[in-house]
Amino acid sequence: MAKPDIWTRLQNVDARAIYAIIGLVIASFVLQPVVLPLPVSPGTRMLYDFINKLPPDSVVVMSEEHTVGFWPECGPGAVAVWQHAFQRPLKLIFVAFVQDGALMEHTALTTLIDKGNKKYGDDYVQIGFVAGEETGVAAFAKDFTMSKSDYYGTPLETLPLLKKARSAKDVALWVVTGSIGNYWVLRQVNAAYGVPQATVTMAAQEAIYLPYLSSGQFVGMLNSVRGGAEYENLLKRPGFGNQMMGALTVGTGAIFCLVIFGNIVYWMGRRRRK
Amino acid sequence: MSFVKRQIPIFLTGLVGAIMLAEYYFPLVPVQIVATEIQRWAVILSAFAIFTSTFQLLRFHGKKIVERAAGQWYISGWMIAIMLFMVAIGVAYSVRHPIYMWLFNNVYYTLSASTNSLMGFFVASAAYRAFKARNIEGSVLLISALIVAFTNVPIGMLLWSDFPTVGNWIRNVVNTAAFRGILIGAAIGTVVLGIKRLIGRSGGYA
Repeated sequence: MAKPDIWTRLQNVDARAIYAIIGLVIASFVLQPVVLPLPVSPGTRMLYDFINKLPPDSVVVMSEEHTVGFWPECGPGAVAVWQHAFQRPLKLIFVAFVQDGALMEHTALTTLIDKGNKKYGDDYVQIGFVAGEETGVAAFAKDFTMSKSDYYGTPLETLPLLKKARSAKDVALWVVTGSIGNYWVLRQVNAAYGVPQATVTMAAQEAIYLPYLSSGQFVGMLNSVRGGAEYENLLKRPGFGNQMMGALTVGTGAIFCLVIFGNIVYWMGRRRRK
Repeated sequence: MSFVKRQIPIFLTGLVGAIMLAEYYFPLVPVQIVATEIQRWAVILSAFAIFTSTFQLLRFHGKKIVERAAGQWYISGWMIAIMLFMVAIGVAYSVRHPIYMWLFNNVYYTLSASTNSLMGFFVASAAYRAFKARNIEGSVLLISALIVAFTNVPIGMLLWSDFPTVGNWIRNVVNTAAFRGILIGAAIGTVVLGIKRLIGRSGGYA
């Protein structure tokens, strides 16, 4: 059997070589972050402006709807939006319809967010996990106190904020972080109560939710790490999102180079075989 | 038996579905009270399902250990040990306790994030091997994908200032138009499926 030519061997290169290239390139930019100019996307700007224009004491619900493995992708955007909401005179309710969500919210609220002079119970509340997925969203939207107690075991009826904000009818904005929860909130809150919705979503899901942004059902959308970095820049508080943008850029660049090289190899091999 | 296994579930499904639909379109107080109660039952049942699924998981992996399934039993044993450990910490101290949070943030989070991150490596390898301009359709897909990818990263704009213009046009016009069609089609399909389920014309009943 004839020995395969160079083009065939390059087409069938060991996957570990590709893993090594990608790993080295990304690691170098994670260890030595490079800040690149980043224009703000329309969806990010829309959410920033919407939160800025909310009247004082408006109630905003933040729901964390993804497993913890997606935190590096969605976390920077979520933290930036929550930070912005804490900087404004708004009333915030944190809830999760995915188990991991409550723990991520707790971690962010206790370690990452500067809460200023906001007081727990009066200005913000963490409900915790509500089971039932879409049914849970519908039940919660109807009555915020259906869970009976908050994440810390305090009876919800005793919290001043939940005496004012009783249901989705009292909400001015609902921000979903993640993916699947967007549909639950779209159907059970946005459509049913007309509550404006925004999302911080994964890059792979952004294309799916663009129609909702252009239809006006979403009043803003942050696309993955990039959206988070953009929002951090709008807040003038560069953080984890900006740190990761350099690595994301070179990672994309490396994949681009690999695809181009793969196509050159493919066409050279094909020409040779003819 | 068929009456118990088939007719009663169909009747209950239809009744509950009709109440929920009535509550959405005709917000009458008695219907709202019943619908709210049903929703609360569903939430409680869902929470209980998490509890029962834990036992199902124990049963599944316990069987693997008892049978000494080759290449599996020790992984199942490790899974059970870790699960029981987390449950014990959560029940004994609560999920807000620093030990539980430490395990969540430093073990579960890091492992989950690492597993997700591996996808990037697989995508790179798969893109190198499979993303080829073999024909016109493949070439269009390849070019569109690369333009959109470079729209999402700052270096794209540095390479060619019009990357965002072209990329956003692909996303906002071509992609949105296509996804609107898909979403409307899926929504109509969901309505049809829902009606079939409510009247017992879909599968899943004994």
